[in-house]
Amino acid sequence: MNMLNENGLTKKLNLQKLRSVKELSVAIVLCVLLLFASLISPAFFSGANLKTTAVGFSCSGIIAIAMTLALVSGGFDLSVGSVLGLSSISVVVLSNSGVPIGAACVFGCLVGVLCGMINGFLIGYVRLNAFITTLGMQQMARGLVYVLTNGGSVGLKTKAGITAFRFLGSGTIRGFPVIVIIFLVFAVLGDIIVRKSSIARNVFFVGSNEKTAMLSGINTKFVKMMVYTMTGTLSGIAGVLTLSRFGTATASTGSGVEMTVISAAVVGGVSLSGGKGTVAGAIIGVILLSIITNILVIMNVSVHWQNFITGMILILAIIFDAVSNIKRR
Amino acid sequence: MRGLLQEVKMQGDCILEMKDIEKHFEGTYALKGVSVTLRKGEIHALVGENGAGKSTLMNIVSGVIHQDAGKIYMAGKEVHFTSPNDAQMAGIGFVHQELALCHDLSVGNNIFISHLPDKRGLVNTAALNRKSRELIDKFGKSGQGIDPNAPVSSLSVAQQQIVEIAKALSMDCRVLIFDEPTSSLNEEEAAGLFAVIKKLAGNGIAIFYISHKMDEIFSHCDVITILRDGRLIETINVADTSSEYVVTKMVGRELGSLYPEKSETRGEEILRVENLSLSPKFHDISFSTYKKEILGLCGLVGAGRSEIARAVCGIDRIQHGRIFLEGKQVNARCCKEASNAGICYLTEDRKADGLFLDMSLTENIIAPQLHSFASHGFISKKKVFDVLTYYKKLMHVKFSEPQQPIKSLSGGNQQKLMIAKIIAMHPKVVFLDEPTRGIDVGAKAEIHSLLRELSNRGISVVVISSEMPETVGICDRVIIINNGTKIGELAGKNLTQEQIISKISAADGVNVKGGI
Repeated sequence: MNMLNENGLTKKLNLQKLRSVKELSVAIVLCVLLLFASLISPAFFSGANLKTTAVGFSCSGIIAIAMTLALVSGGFDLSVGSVLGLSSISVVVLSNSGVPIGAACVFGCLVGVLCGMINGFLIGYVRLNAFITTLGMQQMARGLVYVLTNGGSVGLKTKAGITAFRFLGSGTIRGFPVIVIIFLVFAVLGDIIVRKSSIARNVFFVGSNEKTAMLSGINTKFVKMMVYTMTGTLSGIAGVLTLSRFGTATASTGSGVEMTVISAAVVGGVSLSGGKGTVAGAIIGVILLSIITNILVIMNVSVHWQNFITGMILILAIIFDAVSNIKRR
Repeated sequence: MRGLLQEVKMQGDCILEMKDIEKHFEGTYALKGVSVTLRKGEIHALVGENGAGKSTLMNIVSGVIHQDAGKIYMAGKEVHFTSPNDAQMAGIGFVHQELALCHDLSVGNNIFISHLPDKRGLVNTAALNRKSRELIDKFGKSGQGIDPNAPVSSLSVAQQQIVEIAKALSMDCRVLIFDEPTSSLNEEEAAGLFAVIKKLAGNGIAIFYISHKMDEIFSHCDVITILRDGRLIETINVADTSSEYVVTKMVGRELGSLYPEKSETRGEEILRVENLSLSPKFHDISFSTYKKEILGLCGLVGAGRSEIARAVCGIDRIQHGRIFLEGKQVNARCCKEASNAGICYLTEDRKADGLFLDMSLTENIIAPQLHSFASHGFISKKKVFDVLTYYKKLMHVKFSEPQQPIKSLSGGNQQKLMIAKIIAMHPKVVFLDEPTRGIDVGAKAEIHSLLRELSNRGISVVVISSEMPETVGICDRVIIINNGTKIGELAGKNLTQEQIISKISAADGVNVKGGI
């Protein structure tokens, strides 16, 4: 890198490249995969398949935005999947008991906010460990989901406004799924906010060196509280959207989402040790993982092997991360 | 006594005044009745041994901790800092010794960490880089080659220090604290730093300069404040004093009866080390230890004392040299083999390396030689109990029950248990690295007499201590290490702090550290 070059443009380009090298390499892997997919099956690039895949990763993509922040702050949130499920079933229960669907949706989101705030308070102010705290929240939320669904599934009863509500998750505008549009809006906003906003920059400081952040006058406790409130909130929103897509909430709605999202973020170059990562990277990771699953489905590979392969990719991503870290030192 | 506060030459307006600052931690005073005045454009050195209270005082001024009593005035007005942010807002910048930067983020982000230029909630990167550039340019040559956009991890230590100073300047600070800023800089870089500091002082910023290096202080500072044991000893103009005087004031404390009586006769040789080398840590070290004699390894922090002890104890492999124990050569390839032979090492960092803090004291004592407490693969409660009772009596350790977790004990008792753990291995020679670090005066005295008792029982004791009075007070003989080589040996009447300092400064030329 030519640092003494006074030509601002070349300098900027070089640095830009340096910063996004990881996202770039993941994006290249993604393109290669797409090429591979189109070769093995013409069905891959069919409109229907692409649409299904995109709808499939929209909700985890939304959560990945907040998970990026959590990972950048040096923590993570294991409760996102259960909170998603809890938000879904709350909306069903409220709506079925006569509450207007709009109000029920707001409540569903608030469930997410509340779970997130509890996590954030415990991790930030009580200084509990993020792993245990969010694991506990995961169990609690999942427990409530089981109680409310009685271990089975509960469907939304048809009533006024339900059709409009279902449009969010299953409708299309000019053939384009609404839920994917919502996801894209979140993704673009999320990427800008995380990359550019001063509030999110504090999260990077905390994740990079918490003591420094504290000594520099940053309220690290509040920053953590904010991060987990954010993961909770986006999980709540994702829960409402998931319900809107399927029309039912089951005992297992959202289970395993946390692992998919964390894996995706790590594959997309977000550092597990904090301080580094972009929303764009995490989302490319989400897309990459779901396309791999899609390819495996097209290739008729058993579901059980899909787990194996996803896990393998995660480990490869971490090895790549570790090796590139060693090289830099 | 000269140099009372009133007599100090008035150099400008008073910016910061600390009055009767007091702070105690767990019952012991870290600071008591300390008053310091800092004037505009003054470079004010703060000196004292390790534990004298320099860091505590600076942490209070910068809002990291809060004083128990006493007042702080800035420009005549009383201030209360409840957080580092308050202090920064009031104009106090702190350049920390272990540079406090976020390595993953860019130079600009680090400089403006607490007040990023903001446009409608988004970071204004253009303004950030421009303002950072302006700040860095103030450093002239030293700032060249620092790109505001580059991640801090790509900079050299000296450059990182510039970033750290720029960070403080970005807050428009009036007081800037430097905590041993040259400890990781080479001479050229240090010269660059002093040019910067002089320039800042010329612009009216008052500087607190913490350092152990007398030559630096005497060539660059205006005023010296000496602290010892948490008390203000003296504030004096550099022009009116000498480094000998300052060192004497720094270390000068009554020794006398604080330490146990010295040994009168030494017994036979136990350990003989010949031409030990481990490049680049130390070269050609030879010494012997004897029964009924406490030997001290003395030198500056980083001179190679711990490294020598670690090598003799088999923790680090040596490159050359031979080690004899009671006349027989020892070839220990690991610390287990060395301790089996009878050479044991007590770590300087009991929390990180020495103890299983969450486990009980029983478990801690039996850990290094579990097999000797076991019968048929199970730990024998009776054997453990016997040993514990024996050492409890020997060490005067106070604890209520053997299952108590070790972290609930005081530092002094923890340290004693560390020693008990070593003694339970029946060593012939023990190397104790900083055996009294971070414990109070009473416990220190108990450990000193314990060491003497061990020595009288026939164990050869070797002590490494960064507190010079302790080294002088407890050891019968001292080997002086400088830059990894043995530069002298003192015993008997010649064993004084002044002698040690003069030997080291003669060898080193420049650096006379207080914390020896």
